[in-house]
Amino acid sequence: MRLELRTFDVESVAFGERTVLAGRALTISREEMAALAGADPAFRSIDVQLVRPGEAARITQITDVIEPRVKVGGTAGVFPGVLGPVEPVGRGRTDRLRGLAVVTAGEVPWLGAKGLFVAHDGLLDMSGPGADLHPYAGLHLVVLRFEFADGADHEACERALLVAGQKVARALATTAAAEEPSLVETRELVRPDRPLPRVLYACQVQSQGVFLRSRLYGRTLDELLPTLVHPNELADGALTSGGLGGHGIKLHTWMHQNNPVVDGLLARHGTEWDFAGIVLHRGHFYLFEDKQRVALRIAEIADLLRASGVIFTLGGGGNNITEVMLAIQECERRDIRTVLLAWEHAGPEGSDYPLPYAVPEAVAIVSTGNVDEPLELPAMDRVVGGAAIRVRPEVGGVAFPVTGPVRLERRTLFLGAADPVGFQRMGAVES
Amino acid sequence: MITALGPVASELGANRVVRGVKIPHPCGDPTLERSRDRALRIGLIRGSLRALATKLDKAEIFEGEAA
Amino acid sequence: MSAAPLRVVHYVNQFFAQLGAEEAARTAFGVREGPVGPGIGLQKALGDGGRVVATMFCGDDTAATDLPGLGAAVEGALRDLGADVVVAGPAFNAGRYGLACGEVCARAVAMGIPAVTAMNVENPGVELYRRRTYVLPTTPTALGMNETLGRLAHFAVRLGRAEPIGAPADEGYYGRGVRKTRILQRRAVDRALDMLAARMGGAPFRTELPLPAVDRADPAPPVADIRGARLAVVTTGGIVPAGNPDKLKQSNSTEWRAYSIDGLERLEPGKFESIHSGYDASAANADPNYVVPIDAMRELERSGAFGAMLPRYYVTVGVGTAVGEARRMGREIAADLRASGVDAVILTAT
Repeated sequence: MRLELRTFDVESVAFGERTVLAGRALTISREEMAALAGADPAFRSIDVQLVRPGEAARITQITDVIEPRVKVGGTAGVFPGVLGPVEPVGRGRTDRLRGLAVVTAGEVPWLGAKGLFVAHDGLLDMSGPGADLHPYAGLHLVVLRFEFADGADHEACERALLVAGQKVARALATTAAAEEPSLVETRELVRPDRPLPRVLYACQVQSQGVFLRSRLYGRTLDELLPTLVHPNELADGALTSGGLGGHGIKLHTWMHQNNPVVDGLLARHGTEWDFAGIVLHRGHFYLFEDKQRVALRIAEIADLLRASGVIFTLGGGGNNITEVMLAIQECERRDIRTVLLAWEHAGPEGSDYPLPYAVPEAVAIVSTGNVDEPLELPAMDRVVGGAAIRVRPEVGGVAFPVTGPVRLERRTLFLGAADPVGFQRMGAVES
Repeated sequence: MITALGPVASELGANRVVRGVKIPHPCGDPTLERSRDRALRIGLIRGSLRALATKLDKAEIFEGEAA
Repeated sequence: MSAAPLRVVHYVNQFFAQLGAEEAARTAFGVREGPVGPGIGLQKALGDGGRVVATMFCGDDTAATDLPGLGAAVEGALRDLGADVVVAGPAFNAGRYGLACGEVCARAVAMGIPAVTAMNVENPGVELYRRRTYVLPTTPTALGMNETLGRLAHFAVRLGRAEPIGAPADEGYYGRGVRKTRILQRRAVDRALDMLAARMGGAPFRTELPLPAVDRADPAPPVADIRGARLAVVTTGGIVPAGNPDKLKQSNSTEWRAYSIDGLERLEPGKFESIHSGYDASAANADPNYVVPIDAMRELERSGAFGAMLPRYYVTVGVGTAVGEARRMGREIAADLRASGVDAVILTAT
């Protein structure tokens, strides 16, 4: 499976008559994007806004972040199974815009819901101390802000948002056709010319019902037992996010497209190791036996492929870590060495037990810091979204103002703060 | 403690653990017909009572009692 | 211009105070002027930086069997001694001595006097006191005495002068179990991939997250007479009266509540609901007895399998709740249960 990935850098974005890329300047027709994205009956209205990298802007109620990509030539398209038919991807040519992301946002109606299946609201700052916590501060953002029609239920809202974001992402990438790429990479898992240790990436996602789903070729992963995926499939959007909960810890579609663990494993493939693929799995199964099934599958797949090492990342919090820890245990018992990249839950003082569950075999952990630490955010010059976000669905909802300085008691409301796949430089230092 | 994650609980310090059904409904099974579900729940409490009355040196996982 | 020497108060056990070995382990607490035993070596290492003005001492048995008593005696002594900094030990592998040293330093710190002690990693005093005072590592036996006194002296002078102390790994003391999020030099992914490369190549690596030991308690003795026992239910499954009248939080809990089940044969759907944000609540909302099994317990109460139910159940929510908060809530609930004459508890978790 060989993919030619062509990167087109975008250095400025502005609204204009037509949607066109000229050199590194992208012009976007607001009307065209609004018409493309807003067509679904679940939406009452759409507003398109631009946010510059490093702007003193706060964006609220984000539902996904997607990098513009499009396949060129051949029949397959990006986001197979959602925007188009289920077809093989990860081959041929794909164009991407670097330096820009599409953001879908809006106040998804709660409709009286509480508990797990609620569209939780979060926020994101493009400058200030919050900007260090997520990978988007250096990007231009095209924010599609939606209002929802009366009568739109949760499933309809989730579906509408998924498709709208991907449509705009694909459309923006088509502007690259007439331009020259700044970078062309060939992504392929070529057989190494000498024996090298085999490594796998066990990538956990979340999928367990509305607002918490991930999709592979358009199919939700609620029933997923671990499966093997080629990194190029992620590059072409075969894995997409639909999650609207736990903002600090969730994985956006952009994070799947640009997964730094994948990129890092690819970079040293053939020199440091033989990267044999991604074991995709979901956590948070409700039966202990199901967690054991997941752990065994990961370890047996690794064993079958003669892997010497597996690196793990988390797709969610709480008991999601149980599947990963059990898998680490099963791998280590088969003499397959493991590394875990994870955030901590060490309480607001940093003195609490740091992980919800652990096994003694988890001897190699890289920490992205403590998600329970409070966060003081200054006021931003601009808020893209309402003056308040909704918190506490369990009491029917309380408005949390976001226009001035904001103190978050813990980081879970701040997008990307837990850094689940390690984009940022955060860590925990013992003091 | 009645929990679906028995081994997790016993490793983390719960000494008397009874295996529950599933995380969202540890004390019953909504897929069962009413009276069987009720019998299952009674069995879990009976198992709990047995665990409470058992001398232990270390953590142990008990099963609910059959109807 | 160099600062005046700091007033250092030292603590040693009966052996190092030259009062005898094990036979003198019940020596009472006392204070002597100037340095004694290893205090002389400590004085040498301090040089002009400090003066050992007094030495507190106590028998290891006296100390270890009544640490609060030792602490009170230390407090009394330190009030009159005008100490700038307290140094205790080093205790190496001596367990009772290590506990005593830890208690002495913890009391000093609580009084606002900086303190430092030293002991081997195996000493139980490390785990119990490293969060309350600085504890430096040592060799297992007193073979490392001179070298340790040098480090203690150096550390004590810095503490006495209120100099900032850096991270444990850099400064050489046991971590205090507090972890702070910081921006580091390299991306987490690169640190992780380097760690993977090290493990593949058999090269040394250092985990960024050493897993602390789990806090375990021995199993409680069994209930002697289960048929006569009073039972209560405690849940972390977030079942509350419909409408969540006390506004319990859906995650990161700091509060618990008790709700009446007096006269109730079961929890009625619609009258109770789940507010827990970590599991699919549809089954629990359709039948709250799935999480708080009152219906089954009532039936067994009636049939005499146990004595009686407490007429209320206790509830909080898991989901990201800090272990420290859970521990406190557990203690509070346990106190309430005890005061209510409860013999045994059934806990349900989701």
